Amino acid sequence: MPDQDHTLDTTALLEESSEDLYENAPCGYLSALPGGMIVKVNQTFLTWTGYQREDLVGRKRFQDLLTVGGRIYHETHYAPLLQMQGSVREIAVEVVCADGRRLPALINSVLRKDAAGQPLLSRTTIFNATDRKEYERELLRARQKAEQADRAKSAFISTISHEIRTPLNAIMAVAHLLDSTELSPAQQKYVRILRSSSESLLKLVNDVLDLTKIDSGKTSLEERALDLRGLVYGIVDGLHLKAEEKGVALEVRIDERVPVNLLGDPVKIGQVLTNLLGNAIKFTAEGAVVVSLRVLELSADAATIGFQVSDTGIGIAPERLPHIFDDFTQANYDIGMNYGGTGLGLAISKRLVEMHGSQITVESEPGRGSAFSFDLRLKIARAAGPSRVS
Amino acid sequence: MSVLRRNNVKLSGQETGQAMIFAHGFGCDQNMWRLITPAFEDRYRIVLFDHVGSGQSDLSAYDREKYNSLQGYASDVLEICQALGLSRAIFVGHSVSAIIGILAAIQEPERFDKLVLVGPSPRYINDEDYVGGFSREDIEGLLESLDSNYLGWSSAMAPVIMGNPDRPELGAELNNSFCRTDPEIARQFATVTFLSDNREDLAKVRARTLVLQCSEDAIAPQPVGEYVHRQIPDSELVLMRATGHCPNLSAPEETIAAIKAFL
Repeated sequence: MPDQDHTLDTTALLEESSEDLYENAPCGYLSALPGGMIVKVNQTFLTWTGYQREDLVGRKRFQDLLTVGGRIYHETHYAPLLQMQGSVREIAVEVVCADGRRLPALINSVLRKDAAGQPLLSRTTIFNATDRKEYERELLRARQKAEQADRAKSAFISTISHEIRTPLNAIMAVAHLLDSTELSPAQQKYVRILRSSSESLLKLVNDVLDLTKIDSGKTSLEERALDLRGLVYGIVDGLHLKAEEKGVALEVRIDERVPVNLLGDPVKIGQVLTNLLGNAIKFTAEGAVVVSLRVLELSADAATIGFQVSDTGIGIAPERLPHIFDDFTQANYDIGMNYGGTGLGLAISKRLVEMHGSQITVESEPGRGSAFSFDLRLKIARAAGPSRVS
Repeated sequence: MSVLRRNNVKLSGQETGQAMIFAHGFGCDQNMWRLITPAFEDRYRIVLFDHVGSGQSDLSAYDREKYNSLQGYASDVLEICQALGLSRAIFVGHSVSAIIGILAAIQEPERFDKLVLVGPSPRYINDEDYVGGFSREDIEGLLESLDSNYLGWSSAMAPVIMGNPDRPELGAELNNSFCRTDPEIARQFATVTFLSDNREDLAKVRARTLVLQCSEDAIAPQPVGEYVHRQIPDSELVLMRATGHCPNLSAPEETIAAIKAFL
């Protein structure tokens, strides 16, 4: 009957094509007995590796085709894992080909068991990972190269900065000596320029050294007695003259709940506050600069303090805001011309706050002013001791 | 941090019975004993644990310096014995844990009555007349393949267990994958394991010892098992029909029978 013939044809065709599918699939297939002896393998795997079917079937165990390192890995991890969980996914191995070449492969295996749960056969699918391996190697190489270059750069900057500091100190000392001699008014002016320029230069060099020290992980936080009120008033006193010269009011608002016996790193926190306050005064022509400390959370052993430095200064354009914490960045070129500064202060402050596990944020409106904020969670010293160093 | 939590210690069997401590080798975790321990639960107190860095141990307890030698793992074994108040226990160690058990037994002999060493090797790298089975380049190849198996290890950590009809009581535990490990830790454990040389320690063992040697073991070949047997004074060597490195999984009945005959 024509219909029956037709069914037969289709079945034969399907059988033929599933065999073809097995042999020429885009991945290798390999079946092995529980000990690893290969009992079936497809053409794709043979083509990739250059073996003849009779070299493998009944002659080689799958692990015999791996590099020695891969074989150890197979025996200690892959085989037990397959036995225990019945399948293993995405293991990277290298298959040693007939000519000794190594084929990077990703393998997935499934264990077939009989009704009693005894392992019968393992079926492994092998993906050719040559390209992927090459990409991985390239990525790894590129990363190593970049990291190496970055380290070399930091070391270079650090060395150069140290080397600059020595003669610079000599220049400053001599300028100071020169200043104490009999000078004409013109000479006095020259010495003033000499002194203020070398001071700026020293500040830049110190900032660069600070930054490289933080980046190379050589800076660590200390934990000692921290009197936040004393710290803030000390900084404000130091900056008072500058603010007064500009006619800018300098205000301190400290939440009375700020504990007196906190633990923290006064030098690092002081550095951040000095920098933010210095900037605020620098960029404010009239109005006020306010530093405020608020208690956000308070428990028996820790307090979270919200720090904020706000001003009524020139503000920062919205498109520049995301970049102001970058190294060597100022809001625009004119800033450097008109206000001076290295563009490193905020980069250093950002890192110092990050070392505390926090973040520094900024809100600003051009012409209205800026506000920089960060929260720090600080431990409270136990009443017994006045200070504790960890 | 409690030692029992740190090493994910699991107890079963007879609370008042003699203790049997089962220690897994590199690349796996305590699950690799699951076909063996049920055979001993009727008479013994079964102590299972994961080495720090493996299985469900507390990864935060991993200290690169401490675990830079097998001694670090041996002190953990002793701490477990101490925490459980064990003495005259039977220590069953697979692969590198056989050596870890030896180090522990030398340090505090009163804690160990007998040692069962499954596929032990005191040194994996060949050295003059000594046959360890591997060259230094081979071991470097392993370390390299561990590096490249970052993804392999990661997916081994994903939960892929389908459940276990033979042992439904393990169901909950089996929701997590076996042999979980952190790739960085695995690499250091492999380095410490495969570059170790503990040949000198074998002669110091005083406990009665059983050496179980598989045929065709690619990790600890037969001459190594024979060497271990020759060096440990009061030892027996059993050559098993089981092939490979993990008879506790591939031939549990034969393994159980050999251990029972020895005990």
